[in-house]
Amino acid sequence: MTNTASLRTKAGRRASLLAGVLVGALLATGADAQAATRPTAESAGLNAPSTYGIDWTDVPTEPTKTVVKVTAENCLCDLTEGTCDANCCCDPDCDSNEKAQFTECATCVYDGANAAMNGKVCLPEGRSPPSLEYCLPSSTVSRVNLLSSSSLGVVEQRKADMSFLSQQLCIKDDNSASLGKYFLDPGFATDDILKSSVTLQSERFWNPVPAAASETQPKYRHNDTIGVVKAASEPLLPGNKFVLPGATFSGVCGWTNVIGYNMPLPASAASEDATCLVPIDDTLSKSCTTLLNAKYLVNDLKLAKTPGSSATPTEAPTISSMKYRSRIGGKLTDLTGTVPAATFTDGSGGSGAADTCNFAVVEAHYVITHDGSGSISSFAVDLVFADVMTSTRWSAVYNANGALADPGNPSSVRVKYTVSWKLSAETVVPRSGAPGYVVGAPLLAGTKDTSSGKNAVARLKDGLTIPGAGPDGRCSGNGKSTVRFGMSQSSSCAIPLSQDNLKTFCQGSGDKAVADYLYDLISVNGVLGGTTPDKTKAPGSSVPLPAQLMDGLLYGTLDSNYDLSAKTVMVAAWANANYENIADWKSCDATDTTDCATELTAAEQLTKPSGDSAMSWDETTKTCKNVAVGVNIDVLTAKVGHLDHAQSKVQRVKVSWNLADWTYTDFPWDNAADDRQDFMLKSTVHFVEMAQDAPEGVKPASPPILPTLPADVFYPFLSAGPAGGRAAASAAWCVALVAAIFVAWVTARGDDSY
Amino acid sequence: MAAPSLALEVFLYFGKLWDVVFWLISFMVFCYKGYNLPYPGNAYEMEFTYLFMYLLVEPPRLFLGSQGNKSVRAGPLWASMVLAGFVLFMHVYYIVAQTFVLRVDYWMNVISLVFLSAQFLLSGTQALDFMRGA
Repeated sequence: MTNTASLRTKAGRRASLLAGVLVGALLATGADAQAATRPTAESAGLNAPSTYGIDWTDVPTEPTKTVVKVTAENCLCDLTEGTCDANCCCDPDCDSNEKAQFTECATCVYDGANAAMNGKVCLPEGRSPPSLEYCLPSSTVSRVNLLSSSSLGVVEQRKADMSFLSQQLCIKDDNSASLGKYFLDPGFATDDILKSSVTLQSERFWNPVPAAASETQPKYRHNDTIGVVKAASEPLLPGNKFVLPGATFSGVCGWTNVIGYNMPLPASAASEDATCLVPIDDTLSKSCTTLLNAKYLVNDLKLAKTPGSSATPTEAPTISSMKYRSRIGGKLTDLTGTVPAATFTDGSGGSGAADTCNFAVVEAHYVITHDGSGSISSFAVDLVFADVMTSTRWSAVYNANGALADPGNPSSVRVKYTVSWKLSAETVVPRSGAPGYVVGAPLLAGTKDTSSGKNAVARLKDGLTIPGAGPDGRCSGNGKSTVRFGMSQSSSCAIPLSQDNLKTFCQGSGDKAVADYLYDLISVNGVLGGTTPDKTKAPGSSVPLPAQLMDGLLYGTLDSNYDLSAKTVMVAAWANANYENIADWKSCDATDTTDCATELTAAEQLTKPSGDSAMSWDETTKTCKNVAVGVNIDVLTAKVGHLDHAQSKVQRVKVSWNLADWTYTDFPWDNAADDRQDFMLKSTVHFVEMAQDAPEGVKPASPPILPTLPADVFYPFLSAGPAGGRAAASAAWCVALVAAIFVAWVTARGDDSY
Repeated sequence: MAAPSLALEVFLYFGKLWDVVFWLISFMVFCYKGYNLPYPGNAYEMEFTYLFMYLLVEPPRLFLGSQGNKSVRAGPLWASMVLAGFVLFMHVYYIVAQTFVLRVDYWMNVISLVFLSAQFLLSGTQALDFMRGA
């Protein structure tokens, strides 16, 4: 006690001294206060490196290596030294006051060391250590952590219950060298280990760069670059190779995607590297003649069927489909005729085409057909065109008389290119894994379709989607966000509403479909076409906004305006489910066959919130309460298969509304009819891993014929043979056997010994 | 003229009865341990296998001991004592070296060792007597 009091007194003195110094420093600063001035001269150079300060009094003269214990008892959420990590219940830096401030969680109940943290959030700490009941005398401590024979494993030794049976079944002694399976610290790593590991892992981190085929090579090999054959006066792609625009480090398009033979783009379903951005600033006129131009990407593109400079070219690609994407809302319309080359219309006049790249290629999806033995037969392409306006033009459009929304200032247009390969007779259908899902791949989904009494799944090409934003951040029925497996996500977009719009919408008097409402806000008559905006119009609320934006997907009430409403939605449990075999998409309860975990019938889908959850308008606070602003999708996942190569599958899917209150911030200078504020729609997807029991069906190795002796049985005589206890023990047995035979031979008597 | 030993026969008879109890309880204890304790590698399988090898060795050992004693022949007694070597090894292993020694294991094997020791010593004495008598 005396020592503690003395320490506290010293600490108190130090604190007072420190406070005095600080106050003095502040006063001194105040006395000489001057505004900061700019450095007299700027210069090039590197900033000084930023490091943590070293307190040299704490640095040992002869450092000793810290034994790292990677054990189950570690506190995985303790990520900051010297301070309490929020919601980390095992952090020794957190005192009771700090733990009392942890996030409330009414449903959180813990046992063991965290029993006192019930009602609070505790971040994952790692698995609890193994616990065994030992026969300990009453005089000893009842719980103790003992190091096992290895420096890594720790087991909790617990005193057994005093009942007769427990006392007989408690562990009196143990000879277990390990009490669990651990990766041991492998120690020093040699250069050879690095080389062999790199070899084993090669081409796993990123796609291999395609290599040029040799001039004499008769056929392509996988990942050979593909030549582009030049005809008279035709332009070529960079390097005379088949190259498509791809994202550079800034996301802006460059000629980076060199296509390799039989290598798809993107390389896997999980990657999104097939898109890039084209700035719509002053450089758009140049991009219009290169990156965005069908002349390079389609019309003059002829691939070499085989390697070599004298190879026969394919014909120009067959056009599988051509669509035009509208500037506002992104609606696709089929086009017919020949492929138009992009042209740039200069000027900033009032017409719709000024400062615009007309018929820019914003999507090109190539399907290349090969013969299976290294030759390209032909190729086809699906195209999406759009008229891309410069940012100057966007401002002009928004500022035109009658515009009802601010510009949103888009600065670029996103373009997308994909390449897939097939044999002549194949139909290419991408999977999201085989058989388990790959993290990041689209979650396979579709709607149940029936024909002639047979059922199949109309699989959605983009997988399951949630409402997303268009290029200007506003909600768009064609700007959905794909749900990707294993990646919990949230997707937001804005809907601009005036106070009158919000009130009308909330009271259910709006009569515009939200897509039409958003289109009419921007598409000023005479500039981009469409109708003259009517500021009194508001979005309708008979169908919640997220359901409108998703075309009725996951909405259980039939509405003829939305194609997917009331349709049974199927989510594939396994990533390689065949959409023509609906049985692969179901996993029904054995007793209640109506409960198919990944099949959402109309009755299990969302309906318009009613009762206490119904939308209502509060005039006092200008608040629309209980707006369905999005969908929440909970996806339960599980792992199946060998521990080293477990496959992920979907176990169950559940949807619910995300309800929120929308309050119009009533500034005095705002006009209730004209001034719009952005209200956010927000949808979320949670991927939750199922709590699973220990793996079953483990077939143990066959028991050895001879029991294993300790590796050090002949200590201090050491084996120079291969390292490992089992080898040493086997050697020990051999020696023991020879010794026993020798002794038996020496001591053998005659045959009349009985 | 050497005579059969009553003491040896008594130990062999009650040892046989105890062996039944020992084997059944050990079997159940191994089931319990297999479910509840974290065995490394294939140690559990090996230790459980010993119990079944015991089932092969112990009845012939007792039979040979009893037969040698009653027929006043040293040969079966020596054979019984050779087989006792494995049984001795097994009990000592179960007491000292098995992965998890429960208290019930400990006492069961100690009792078995007492029987085994008595049977071994008496068999040895009888065998020597029979050899001298022959």
